[in-house]
Amino acid sequence: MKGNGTKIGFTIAFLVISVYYLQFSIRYWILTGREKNLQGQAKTEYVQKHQKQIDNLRPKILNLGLDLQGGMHVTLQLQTQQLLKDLAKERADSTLNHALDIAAAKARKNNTDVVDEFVQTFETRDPNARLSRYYRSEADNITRRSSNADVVKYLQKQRNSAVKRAIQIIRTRIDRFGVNEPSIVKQGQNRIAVELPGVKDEERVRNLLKGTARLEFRLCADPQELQTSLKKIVSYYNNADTTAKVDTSAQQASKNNPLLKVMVPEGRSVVFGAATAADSAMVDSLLGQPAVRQMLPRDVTLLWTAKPGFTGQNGKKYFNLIGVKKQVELNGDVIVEARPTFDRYTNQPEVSMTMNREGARKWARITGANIGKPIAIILDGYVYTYPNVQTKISDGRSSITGLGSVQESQDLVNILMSGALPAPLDIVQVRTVGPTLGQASIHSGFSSTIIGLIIVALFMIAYYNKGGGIADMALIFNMIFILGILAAFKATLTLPGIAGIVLTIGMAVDANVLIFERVREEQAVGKSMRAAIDSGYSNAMSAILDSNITTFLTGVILYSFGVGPIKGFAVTLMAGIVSSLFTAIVITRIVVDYMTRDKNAVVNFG
Amino acid sequence: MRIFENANYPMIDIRMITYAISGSLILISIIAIMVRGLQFGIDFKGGKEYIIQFEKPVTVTQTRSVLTKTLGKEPLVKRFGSPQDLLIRTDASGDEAVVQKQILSSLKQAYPGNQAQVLKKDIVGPRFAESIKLAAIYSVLTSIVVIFLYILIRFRKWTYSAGAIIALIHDVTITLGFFTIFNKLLPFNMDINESLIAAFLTIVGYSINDTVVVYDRIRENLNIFKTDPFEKTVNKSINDTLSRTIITSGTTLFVVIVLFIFGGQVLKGLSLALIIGITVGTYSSIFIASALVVDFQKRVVKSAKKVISK
Repeated sequence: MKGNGTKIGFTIAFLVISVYYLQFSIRYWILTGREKNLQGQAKTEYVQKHQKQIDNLRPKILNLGLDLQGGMHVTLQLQTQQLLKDLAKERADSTLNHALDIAAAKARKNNTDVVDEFVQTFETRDPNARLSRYYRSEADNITRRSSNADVVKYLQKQRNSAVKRAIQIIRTRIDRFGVNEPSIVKQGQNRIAVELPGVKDEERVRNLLKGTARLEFRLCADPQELQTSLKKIVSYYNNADTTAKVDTSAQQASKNNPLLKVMVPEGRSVVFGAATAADSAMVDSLLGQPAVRQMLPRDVTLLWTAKPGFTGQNGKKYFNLIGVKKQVELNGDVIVEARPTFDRYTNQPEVSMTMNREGARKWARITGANIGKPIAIILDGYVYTYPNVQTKISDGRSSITGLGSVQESQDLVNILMSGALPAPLDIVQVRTVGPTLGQASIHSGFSSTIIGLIIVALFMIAYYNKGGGIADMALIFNMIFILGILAAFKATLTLPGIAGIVLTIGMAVDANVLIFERVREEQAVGKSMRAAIDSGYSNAMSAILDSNITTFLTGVILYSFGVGPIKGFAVTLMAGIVSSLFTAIVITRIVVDYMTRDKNAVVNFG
Repeated sequence: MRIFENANYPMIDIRMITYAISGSLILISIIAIMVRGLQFGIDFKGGKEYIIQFEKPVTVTQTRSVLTKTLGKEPLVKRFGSPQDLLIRTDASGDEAVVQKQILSSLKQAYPGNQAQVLKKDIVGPRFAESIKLAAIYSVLTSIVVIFLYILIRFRKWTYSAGAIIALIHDVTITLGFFTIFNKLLPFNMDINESLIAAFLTIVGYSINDTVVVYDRIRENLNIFKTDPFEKTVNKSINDTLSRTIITSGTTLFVVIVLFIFGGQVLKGLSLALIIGITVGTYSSIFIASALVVDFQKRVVKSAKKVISK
């Protein structure tokens, strides 16, 4: 019995800690469970009475993964290529862009870092070329003379800080959106994993996350020039279509015109044409041909409107293609305040913006010089409005109209105010789980745990008699400890995690099986009860440790490589191993020793 | 109650038979994998996968033909548990939100009055899929290396490490082969995805657990029965630990079978992999891992003798 005082002490301590961490969750579930059963007036009263309590408990409860409570998991990836292009600013030339394109393609193919690939590509093209031709920074001491290695360090630093900033911005946006317990973490070098429990409106989240908030004010193309280009381009495709054979009557030609098949030519004011959302990609690729591009005025580019301009006779919505100048007159960073409002006349939702002093001064100059002409307000590459300038605007106010709903105007304000992302983000993975499926998963996970527990417990008693009963008791302690560990370390319980717990039930008895088998063997060679128990425990120890350490190591590996729900599986597996070692070795020993305190007592091991 | 009390089966003597069984199972698995290729799921291949629930049951074939028209290429359509639930997987390009709208609106047209809702969806970009795949490969390889080293440190002989690792590769290969062969034949998702990798690593951990317990006993018995031939001691150790091996495997198998039956559709693949893996792992711990040590050890002795006779 000696030394059991410490063992008992530890056991009680662990039990108290586990129960302490678990009681938050139990209280929370009881409170919210009651709320679900109530209806109408009673529910409102109940919520009023207990809301504060529930809110206080929420951060302390056992986290359920998205696969259990429903929600959305999004992985975003920073467009490093764009960031490198932007950092070079006006120094970027075709050599740099070309190297960046190749690097991006390589990085995609080999799953490597864009910065590394870029430097390699750049140096293989010309070993003597200096990156400092493109990148300068006073703050980081990058000058014309800086070595390539220094510039690489600078670029990596910029990339890392861009990811960090992006995380901050996303956090602000999501906080304003209002989600309980969102998680936003960096993943690898340039990825961000965002978990949003309970979110249903995906479309909104998507816009919220992706919106780079690159707000630009640009002048529009000259309507006359644009019309001339449109005619040229349409006729180019008339003639280019060689399948039209000999019959070259104008009507026949236009029927076979690949461009006109997907785009309605407009040519009124600054509207170049219109197409449905489905056809827009085709239009882009037709207009993107180098030969065709040359037919547009040099300083003009074509951008789609964010909202459809009209509904066609076929019931489909058409988006307008607007001719705008390439040069950006004013950037979104001059905006100091944005708020959702309504148009005074049409009562449509809009966003009104206020500029800082410098912006207001420029805005006054731009509007003053372009009275009667349209100016396009462009957000993330889409034209929101292109109003005609009525008068010179000197107070730095302007508004974005053409928004679909109040919600959209609010989200836009949110994006504008949280700042622009340092570079665009790509959504590389989306995983959503509906709340009903989550509920079903909790149910099936819970019932498998209980059934598994009962079967194993019954078997142990049948096979090892009293010893089995002791092992079963250890198993119950084990469950409490595992959940306690998960709650204390703020780990997240996922469906594979529950599978890990169920698996632990099966494996947890292993240590006791090893010990009991050993005790039986020792008894078989004629040792007394006490001696058999002593040597049974000590002889089984090395096998127990060796086998559990190897399994634990695979758990660690799984944890470090896995993502999302699988991490949850690894966590429960590891927690299970640690806690089952403790319960099977320490707790059962206390009980066995207690039962054999009398020399003549007999504990049956089957 | 007792099983295998005083067991004394000639496990090592029949090793040529068990080698043959294992060899042919591995061969079948490798051929299956080479012929059919590994059946990767959405996590490793990229694409768009939706689980859609209808109010009333629908047929798979009709849904498939409806969606083939809308998406332009044939999607994978499978039953997902109940007849109301379908799994739809497509590699149709384009924005995911648009694809989802296309699917839902064409289903609405095809089944008027039968509301469909998305229960779950997974969208994985090809680049992202590639990196998950790499992580999975690294994790399996790392675990094998780590285990090799651990056993080398604990047992001080490469023969033990080699025996354990070959048994592990044996277990994973056969489970993988099983999943490749039965992929389209069973009514649930058996593609290789992240949770299947988790299952494989668990199998690795589990099977090594069994093997190490036997090795541990060999080490102990070698000190007790110093004069016995190595083969005999190994055989005794396997028999000594036999009841423990069977009982632990039994309880673990119980619970994973429970998980397979009651754990819901999402866990079917994972729990089946565990069932197969634990069965094969138990078999290899008893018949393969230690037998290999015997053969490797013989070779070591032989080459040592050669050196001496020279």
